[in-house]
Amino acid sequence: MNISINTIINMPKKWWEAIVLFYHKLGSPPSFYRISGYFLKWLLLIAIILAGIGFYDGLILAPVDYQQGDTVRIMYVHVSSAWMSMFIYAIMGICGLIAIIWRMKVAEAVLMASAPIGAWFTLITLLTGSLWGKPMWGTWWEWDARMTSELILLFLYIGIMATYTAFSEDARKAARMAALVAVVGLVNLPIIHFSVKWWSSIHQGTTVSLMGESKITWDMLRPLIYMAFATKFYYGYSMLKRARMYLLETESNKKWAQTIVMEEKS
Amino acid sequence: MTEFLNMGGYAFFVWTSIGVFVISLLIDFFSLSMKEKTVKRNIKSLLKRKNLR
Amino acid sequence: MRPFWALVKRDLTLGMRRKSQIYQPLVFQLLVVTMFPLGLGSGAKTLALIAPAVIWILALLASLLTLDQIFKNDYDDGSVESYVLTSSPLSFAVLAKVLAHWLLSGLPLVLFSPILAVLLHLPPSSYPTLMLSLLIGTPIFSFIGSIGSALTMSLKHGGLLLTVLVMPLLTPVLIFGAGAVVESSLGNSASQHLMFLSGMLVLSFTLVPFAAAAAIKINLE
Repeated sequence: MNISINTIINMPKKWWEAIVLFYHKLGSPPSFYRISGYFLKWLLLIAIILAGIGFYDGLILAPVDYQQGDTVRIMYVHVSSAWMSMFIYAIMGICGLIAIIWRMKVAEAVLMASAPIGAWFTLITLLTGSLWGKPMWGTWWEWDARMTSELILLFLYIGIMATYTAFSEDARKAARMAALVAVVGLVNLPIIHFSVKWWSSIHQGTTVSLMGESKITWDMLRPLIYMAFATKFYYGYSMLKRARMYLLETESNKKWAQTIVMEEKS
Repeated sequence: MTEFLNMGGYAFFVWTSIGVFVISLLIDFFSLSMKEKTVKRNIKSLLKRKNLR
Repeated sequence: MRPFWALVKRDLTLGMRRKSQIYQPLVFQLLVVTMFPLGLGSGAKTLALIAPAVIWILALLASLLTLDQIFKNDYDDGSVESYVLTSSPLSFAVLAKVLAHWLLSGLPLVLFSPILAVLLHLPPSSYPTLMLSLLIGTPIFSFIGSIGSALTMSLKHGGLLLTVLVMPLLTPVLIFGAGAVVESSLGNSASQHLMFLSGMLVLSFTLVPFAAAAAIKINLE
């Protein structure tokens, strides 16, 4: 019998014990690697399907805006990317705290793995915002509160990635420094947002907010929701893939990582 | 079909936005597999060097 | 408290030995401020309009020149380890370094600002607000800069990374600082702006030492 007496004694009896056990298992690099491996294909598949539905719904089924015409369709990629840029940064901040306080390797992995995709979403937000702004405002760029904040957010992402790259000799030291930058940035983010909003309200331009004040109809909200979920699932895929690579890299002197690398024939 | 592609005259802006979105995420997607290959290659050569000693 | 004042005194002594390090940022400001009328035309109205922003940005840039020195020299000669080994908390050492840095770089900026204000035709009634806003703002530069300095002190070319890290964090300071001077030049009260600035200073004073101490500890591992 391969089941040791310990496994029988410690087997979770209630469903919440199983969840707690699962959560603790995620903290161990080899378990995290193995468990996340099961989800990867599904995350990507669901992301693609939801994006497909979202695009069909948003580009074909959804109505045009009476003011903005077809350009309102840019909202489906612009707003969903904006939401992701902020959501991912929040996750990075929390992982940064965990990484600094408890030195959890998996937290470091999730933090660094989230940065590239988060930066991409921020860049997409800025570029699509510019492309939406040109027909709406007449200029490629306008220093309104949201776009300015988003630009500063991009700088924060770049700072985190640059910090990690700068400490090239020791990956764990690099990740902890990046974690510190993420936490400091997270604390500053409300201050930055507030001050940019305040500044923008004083220097009131004749710009129209990209979203406008009108309530959004269900036919326009529904594709947005599809895209919001699609981007979340893709974030999960991208982040887990990079996190697994981070763990393999930093644990390359451990048996579990070496076994995995040697076993996979590619 | 043409009105779909034309997007009410805003074709350039709408389709470029979609393109930015799709291409950026595709770049991210392909960089994942490149990173995977690099990391695994590095570990393999590390192990080979260790075993040769 | 003795190690605290000892550190401040040591840094001030070292700083006063190299007075050129104090003057260079001021000369930098003078050189750059000359570029503005040369680039824009010497019209007093235009210059007065941009004066608050330009003086504040010049203060920011001049600070950036000296920020990496807060911890870099001490790291290079091993003094940083001695802060960790003293009985007083590391955050006190950070406070001491920030105070010394501000006295050597921030305070000169505050005192020099009226000269820049004259050159840019800022209305004299705004001078007190200008100096007050810089008096509150430059310590915040030193505080936030100390986090960047502690982080990059072990890197060979950490200067650019420091700039990249510190600039986004200082944008609120610029917004409220320059805004205060603009309000004052329009004849309005700048108290709201100055209060936000003061709030940020208090926040920096309480939180930054811990962040910088964390960066030092991570660097020394």
